Amino acid sequence: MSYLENPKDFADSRIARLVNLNTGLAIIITVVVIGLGMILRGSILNATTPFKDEENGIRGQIPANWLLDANPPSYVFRAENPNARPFKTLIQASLQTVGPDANPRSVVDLLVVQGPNRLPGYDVQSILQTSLGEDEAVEIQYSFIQSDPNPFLQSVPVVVQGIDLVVLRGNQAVILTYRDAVDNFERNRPYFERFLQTVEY
Amino acid sequence: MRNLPKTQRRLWLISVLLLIALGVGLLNLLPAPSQAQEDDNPPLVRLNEENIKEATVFIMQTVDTASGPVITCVGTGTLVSADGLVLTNAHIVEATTSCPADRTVIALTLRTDEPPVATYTAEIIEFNRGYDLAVLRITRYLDGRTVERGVLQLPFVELGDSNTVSIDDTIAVFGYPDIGNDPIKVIRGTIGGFTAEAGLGERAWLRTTSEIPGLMSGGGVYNRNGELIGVPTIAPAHAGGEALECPQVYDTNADAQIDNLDLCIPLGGTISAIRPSSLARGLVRAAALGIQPGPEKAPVDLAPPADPPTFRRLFVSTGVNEAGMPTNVVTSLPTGTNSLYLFFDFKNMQNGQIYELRTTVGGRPNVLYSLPPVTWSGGERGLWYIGGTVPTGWENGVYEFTLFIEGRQVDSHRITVGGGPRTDPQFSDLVFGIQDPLGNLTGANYIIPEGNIIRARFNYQNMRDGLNWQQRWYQNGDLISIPPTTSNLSGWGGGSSGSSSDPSIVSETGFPSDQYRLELYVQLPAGEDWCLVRPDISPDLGDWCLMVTSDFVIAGGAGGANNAQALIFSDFRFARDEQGGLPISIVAESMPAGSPAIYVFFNWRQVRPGTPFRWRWLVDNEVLVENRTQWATDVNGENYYFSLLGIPNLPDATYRFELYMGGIRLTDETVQVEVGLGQLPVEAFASAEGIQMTGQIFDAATGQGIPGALFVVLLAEFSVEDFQWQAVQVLGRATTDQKGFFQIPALLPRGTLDEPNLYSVIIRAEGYLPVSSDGITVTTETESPINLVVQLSRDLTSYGETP
Repeated sequence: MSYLENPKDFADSRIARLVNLNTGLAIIITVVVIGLGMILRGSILNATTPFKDEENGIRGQIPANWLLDANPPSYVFRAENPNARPFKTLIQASLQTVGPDANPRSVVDLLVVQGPNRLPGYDVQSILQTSLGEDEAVEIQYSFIQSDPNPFLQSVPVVVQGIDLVVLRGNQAVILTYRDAVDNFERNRPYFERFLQTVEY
Repeated sequence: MRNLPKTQRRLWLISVLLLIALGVGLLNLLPAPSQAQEDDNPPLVRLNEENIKEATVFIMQTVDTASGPVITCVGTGTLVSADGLVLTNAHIVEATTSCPADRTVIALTLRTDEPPVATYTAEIIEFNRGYDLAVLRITRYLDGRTVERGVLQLPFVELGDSNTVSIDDTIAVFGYPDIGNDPIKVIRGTIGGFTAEAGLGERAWLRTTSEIPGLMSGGGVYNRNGELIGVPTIAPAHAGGEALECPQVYDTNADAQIDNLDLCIPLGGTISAIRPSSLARGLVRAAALGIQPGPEKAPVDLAPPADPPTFRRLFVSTGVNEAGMPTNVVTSLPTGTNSLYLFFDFKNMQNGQIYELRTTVGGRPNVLYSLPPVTWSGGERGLWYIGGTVPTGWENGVYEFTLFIEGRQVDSHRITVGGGPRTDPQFSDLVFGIQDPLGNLTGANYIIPEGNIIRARFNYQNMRDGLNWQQRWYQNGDLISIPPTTSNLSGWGGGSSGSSSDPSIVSETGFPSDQYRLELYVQLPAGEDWCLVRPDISPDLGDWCLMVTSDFVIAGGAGGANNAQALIFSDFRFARDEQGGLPISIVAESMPAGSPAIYVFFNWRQVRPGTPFRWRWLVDNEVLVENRTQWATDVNGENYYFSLLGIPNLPDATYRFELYMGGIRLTDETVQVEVGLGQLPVEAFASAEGIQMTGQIFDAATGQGIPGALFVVLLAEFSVEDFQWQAVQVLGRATTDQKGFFQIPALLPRGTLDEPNLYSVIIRAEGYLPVSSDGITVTTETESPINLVVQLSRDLTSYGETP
């Protein structure tokens, strides 16, 4: 039976095709827009901004829209994710003067010794020989308990996991730090990895 | 759309929802929209009293025992800086045999209606036993970790001007009344008067009749503006080495029993004396600037006296001169007498001992005329006084003054106030000098140079010719003049009133440098009773009345006009260091910025060891470091030195050094040196003025507080649009606690009514839409704190995002 024999069927079938086409287009557009959105969102989330401190000789890309603080000589810079909870994900670079015979491991030993005095519940989990670019490096992984410094607030301490990556630069040790709540540590670690790929010292 | 099949309509709906969600998610990543979500309710207003309470701390001295640390002594203190400087009494934090201590624990007022919570440990930064004041710095957390500089942002109060306090001014006293069991207590009262004390002037103590528990000693006394004007002070009195009130609370010897073998916690009685903030200001500023006294060439090192301490020769004067000497000696006073000072000699005293004056009027104890147990600071021996001026006059009655040392009564004195003007003989205003070539007294001082003849001058009235009188001269406590006998009595011939320069003493070999005293007596005629004879003053004097007395010092060589001026210290030089007692890197007028120390060197002539003197450093004309001590090296010499240390460096300022002897300044204003720019930086001292911002952030859907949210307040010159996520643009930030509460650690500076400060805030929390707002107005009339209640809406697209 042809559509000439039954115009109503013809109309119905055309409407049905158009509807199917529209539906298909809607789905495709939605998927495309969602995909683009996800890409855009991902690019914004992964957006970085350059950090440069000529005086201390550190530069690199840090996540955009993180709160950036510079307070040498305590640290060259410190970037914190303002949105993160319960701990503000932190990437930091600091310098420490060392003698000519120092090696990254000796700096790590000092960090381990000083750790309990700086961080409550400081506990070293691993110390690994590694590299940063072409430089020899030592990475120390540790955990500690983070409490709000304001004693007037009823904050519950947070278990934080951290990495200090130590490389030597002449008579200075460059200490690159990443810290996050233990539950978010692995999830947000790519922020730190991307920083390590761009850091120059 | 209505014609579409149900499944297709659902697909459209889902697509639209997804697009909306995606759009919202993207918006979330863009700069925060100006979406204020302040509470409809007006900000809560708390009184400044809340800030004062939070700035008040409980102090515990602890000692390590076999069973762990135990508390040995307690008291109150006040935070005077955001980074953890605590002002308190020196006796509360000084480790002694009755109060052993390994560390000082600071407990904060975390909740104003609850007992304090031990939070930090602190170290003594500045300490003045004489003032009974000390400044601590919070240095560690309880677990021993170091508190890094700049981390603490604690509530604190500012020191007010105690010199503007008047009688009947309303005050509020803040402190902890019990051994850690009670919340902070506020006692309101008024200023009842002032008490003078030797070396500290007319306002050595502010007085109140309010009933203040002894454990509030070290806390804060505030005026109506909420400014700290004093520190309530009482030292727990001891008798025979045991505290009068000293309960055993802890098992300090780990024998599972609480008994007399355990250490006890000494408690004070009732506080009525307040150390004025004017005496604390230098200590607090020195602590804030990191300035401490450094090495001295020959610091005195006194061994504990072998004999028991004594107070004797009690007498009353109606005035005190610039050298701290009595202007007269009175045995009765007329109605309306305004000033009264009880003088007494002290011997074998040790700084840090506790003494007390109890006064009764007509047999009834009088709190304001008494001095509660306080710390001794006058050294081993000398002349001391307690007293004061009452604008309306001391009330009529018989006054009984009784002095105590470590809770043990040592002497008493009685005097009557009342009746008409005195008609009995009176001597006053004794001064000393040397004799010029014409035989006249020259110079009028209490420090005179070495010589062969010492003369004194005094005023007199109501004298009668023929009355017997005599002068008695003492050197270092020993009588050196020949007392009159019945055959050489001196009959008065100077008339009724005037000035006499008759007293003198001659030495063929010259008077060596030392401490001297002159007493003038008149013999009480038979049948007269205008003088209360004090045989305990001079037992060999029978019916002689002490009319006037004064101490003076012979030191230095003669110089100045008529050689009447004592030249003791000379050739002042400033240096950056010393080595082997000699100056290193002498500087003329200035030192470079960042210098870690200043040394002042000088030479000296004819100063007998044991001579009391006072030294102090002024920074930009403000006394920051001061000490009273005794000369403890050779009579003559070169290159004596004092020093001042900066931790880590001395701040830019003008530093002046001053030396005093017998209340007389012996250095001029040229003994000063500039460091760096020669004046303190403007921001040297933090101000407690400003608005505190607190609040709560909660979930709009659930009403639950959001923990871990970030609340940022920008500096007034930046708006939300200007914010580049740079910390230098941030005035303060805080993370919410478990219940969503936050407290910005920095105070928001006020603008004026004409030009208010406008602040912007930004709130961020993972899983929630961001919120920000401009235009939070702060003027001189804005009440503190600003309490913000903020609702956040969930951001359904952001959960679990990964980088």
